[in-house]
Amino acid sequence: MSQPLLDIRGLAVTIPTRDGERAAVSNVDFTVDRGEVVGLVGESGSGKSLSMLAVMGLLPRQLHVSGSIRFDGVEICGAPERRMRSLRGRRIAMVFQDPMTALNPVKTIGAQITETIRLHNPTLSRAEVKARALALLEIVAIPAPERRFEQYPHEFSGGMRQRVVIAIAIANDPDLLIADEPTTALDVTIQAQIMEIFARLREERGMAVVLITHDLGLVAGLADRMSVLYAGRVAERGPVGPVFAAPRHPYTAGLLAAVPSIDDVAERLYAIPGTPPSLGDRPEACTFAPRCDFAVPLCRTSEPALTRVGSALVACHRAGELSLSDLPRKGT
Amino acid sequence: MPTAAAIAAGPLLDVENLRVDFPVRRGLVFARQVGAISAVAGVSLHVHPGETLSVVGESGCGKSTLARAIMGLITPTAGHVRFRSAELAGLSPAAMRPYRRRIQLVFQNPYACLNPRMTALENIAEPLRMLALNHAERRERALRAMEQVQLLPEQADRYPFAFSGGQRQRIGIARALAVEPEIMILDEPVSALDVSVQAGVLNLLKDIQQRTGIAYIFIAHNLAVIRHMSDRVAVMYLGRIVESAARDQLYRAPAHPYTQALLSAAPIPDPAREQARQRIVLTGDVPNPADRPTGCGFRTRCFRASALCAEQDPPARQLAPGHTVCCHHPS
Amino acid sequence: MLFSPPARAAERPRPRLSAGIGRAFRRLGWSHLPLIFAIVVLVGLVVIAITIPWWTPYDPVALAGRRLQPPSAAHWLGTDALGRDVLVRTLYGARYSLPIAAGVLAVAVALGVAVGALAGFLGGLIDNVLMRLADITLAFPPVLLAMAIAASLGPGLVNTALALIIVWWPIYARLMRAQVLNVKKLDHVDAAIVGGVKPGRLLFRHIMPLCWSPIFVNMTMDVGQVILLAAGLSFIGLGAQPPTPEWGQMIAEGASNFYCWWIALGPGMAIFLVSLSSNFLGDALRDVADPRGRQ
Repeated sequence: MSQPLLDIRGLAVTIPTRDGERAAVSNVDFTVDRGEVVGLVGESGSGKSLSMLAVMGLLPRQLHVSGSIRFDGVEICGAPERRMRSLRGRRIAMVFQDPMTALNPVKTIGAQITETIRLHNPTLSRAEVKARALALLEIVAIPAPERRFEQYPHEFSGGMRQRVVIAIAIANDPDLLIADEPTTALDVTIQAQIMEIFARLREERGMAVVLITHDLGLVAGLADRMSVLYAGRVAERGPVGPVFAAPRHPYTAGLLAAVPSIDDVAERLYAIPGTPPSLGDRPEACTFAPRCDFAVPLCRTSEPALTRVGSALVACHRAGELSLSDLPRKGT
Repeated sequence: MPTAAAIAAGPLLDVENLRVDFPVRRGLVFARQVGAISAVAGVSLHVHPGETLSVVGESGCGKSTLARAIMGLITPTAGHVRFRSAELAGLSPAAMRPYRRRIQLVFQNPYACLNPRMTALENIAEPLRMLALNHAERRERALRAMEQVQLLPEQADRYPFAFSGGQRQRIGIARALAVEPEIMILDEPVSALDVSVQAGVLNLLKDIQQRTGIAYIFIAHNLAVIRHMSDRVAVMYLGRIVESAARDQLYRAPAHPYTQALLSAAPIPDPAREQARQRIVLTGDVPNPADRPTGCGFRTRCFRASALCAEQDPPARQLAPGHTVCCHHPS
Repeated sequence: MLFSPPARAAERPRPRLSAGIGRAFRRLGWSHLPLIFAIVVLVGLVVIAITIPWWTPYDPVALAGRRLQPPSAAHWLGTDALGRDVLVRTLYGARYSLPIAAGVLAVAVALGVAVGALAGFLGGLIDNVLMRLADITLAFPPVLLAMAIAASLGPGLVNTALALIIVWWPIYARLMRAQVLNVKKLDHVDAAIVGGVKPGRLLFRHIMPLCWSPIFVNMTMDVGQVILLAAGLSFIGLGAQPPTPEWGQMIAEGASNFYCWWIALGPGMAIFLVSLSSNFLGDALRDVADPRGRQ
């Protein structure tokens, strides 16, 4: 296989706090191939957004990034802002959770899209730019694009705005689209529409997508591979099918068992005890051990490395020996 | 599940044709009312003792307004809210107060629903002032409520900011629970929580119901969570209940096209099924309630809409005992 | 807190004040130099104002030497047209200006907060009447209004204070009303209503405790403003009357001996330092009170 489009190795992000530097992301490995959809799953504070903002070079200056981020074979970790600017928008684009704040409220939708197109294609004529902008609005399934072109963001609903944000993101046909909780602020029926757009972008344009989400259902529907992050570290990664069918990490299994099912009724849900650790409270051992029903003394003293179990990579000392298909539905 | 005897005794809470209209005003100096937005446009529902009725709908469908109108936080424009056949709609705040210990509300946002200048215990003890209790008795009962939601007594004197989202939601539940209400309205109680924390709160709510026989109105948008929690389900769209049925009936044989679309749009955490699945993807957005379509409110997005739907608002029809739907073309 | 009911110590453990100050300093980081400056100036002036009668070398209203002497070792800031020591008079001036500022603000804030809280909480007709009253007061230029009031009441320090109170209360009424309206919308207030909390307790325990920080910030900033306006009234002859060593009055005397620059320098610097300090203090308080800096 050729080299991956995005290849992250040993990524770490540290945040300065009152008590010194704290690792919000540590030792994260992550790859995305061309035309592939990768799900990045985790709860709030798991570092999923931070690591992708690091790829975009969009982290605030106080945060320290280390490790290697190679995009299309070229190292971009710590690249100068000018280089990143030429990559962003043209080859890597990002869609954020909140479509309400991602658009400029005093400019028309058309102006905002054409601005992005012109930025990277200064030679196109006015008519060409407009034609391309209208084509983009059609790709994201905005009805009556000619009329919508002249309207302002406040005239759009949340779902429509998120489409516009996506249209701007894909304006220059990027190789990689990073979508950070793109549907969390939207309704289920609108979510289905947006997910369909992502699926089409992958099929028709061969765009690679990183889908950052806490919703396992979305990953199941769209992604080829997935990484589960917990407290800034990769807990488990692998092809979507096997990970869902037989999760090897107790956290992944716990997440799957904690979600109620839409088509059968369990008396109780599996509840992962406790809460995710805060930034200042992450041991040098397995970060999940304090909440893990299967922890042994080793888990509290040494950090497990990612090891291959079947088709997945799992960071758990007991990955090979545990059978996690039937978690006890106890505790609250 | 409510017992047969409980059902025979009549509903605990009976909401009939409830309307909440928000006036639309124009003009800067002399604002005139030029129209009204019906956030809740004639909702009827009832809850029996010990039962969970879920209300499902998307943002803007009026489900939170419905909760607030039942609680008297918003004065309904028309309709009835009867609690054990006492009329609550339109009561003054003072006249409403005696009923507050019997109906309670749990809020969606655990970060905003607690008074940040009061400790966890003070927050929980606040509604207990309605009862004739002295300070020590209030404290003791608040501590008991904390125990019920599995918070530790040593956390009692901490301020809300020291708690995580899940713990704050437990404090909110304890506060509602402390006065031992007969019914609790839960407005999206877990949607702001992380997945791994949600399950704990849902289990807790079920345990409380089993132990105390409290009735719930559970408002949510997540169909999987609703299936887990409910006895009956009402689906709300644009201020109306478009379908209601017993839980299994609704999930097995949804009749309204909107219910069908909702069910088919809900993501399932199972790649094989999720990727093989035929989806009903609705086109367009929920219409603005100020500009309601003629006839059926759903027809602008409906895949079964006919000419009739634009002309006539579909009346509620009963498909089976306890299963009603507002649609000209139910299936 | 003006309107809090008496606290029961057992029920309301509060964070210790010293811990609060330490935390405040840490949050401000090393940008706290202006704050230290402000505290030194204001605390220093208060101490001087209280203790000066015991250690003053000269009487502030009696002849201390030759008239119109320039600064010298005996008279650091020289003497004025009547031969009184300018530095001593300036320091004595703190005994008038600081209490006026404190008194005016205390009454104006109490009145403004009460009016604003009621208007915001009750709404409707009461809100309309109270706020139109505030609007009318605010519509006059403050200096003119204060002049008119002071002129009609007659000159004197107490009347100056009254005039300033009338000028200042609507600012706090507006501020408090806006705060109450904002806090009233929060979920925890609805939660309290659902919990059967009665209106009085709702206002005092669930709404007002969250309204104070902008009021405090504004108060500290206004200390300088009040002193300035009081001095201005005295300057045009409506406030303190000679021989009171009030700063504005002293500057007026300096103005009539224009070439003896030192006469106005003392009170001028004093007004400048107090206004600057109160602004620094207000800025620092705002940083501490900023909810984004919380937790």
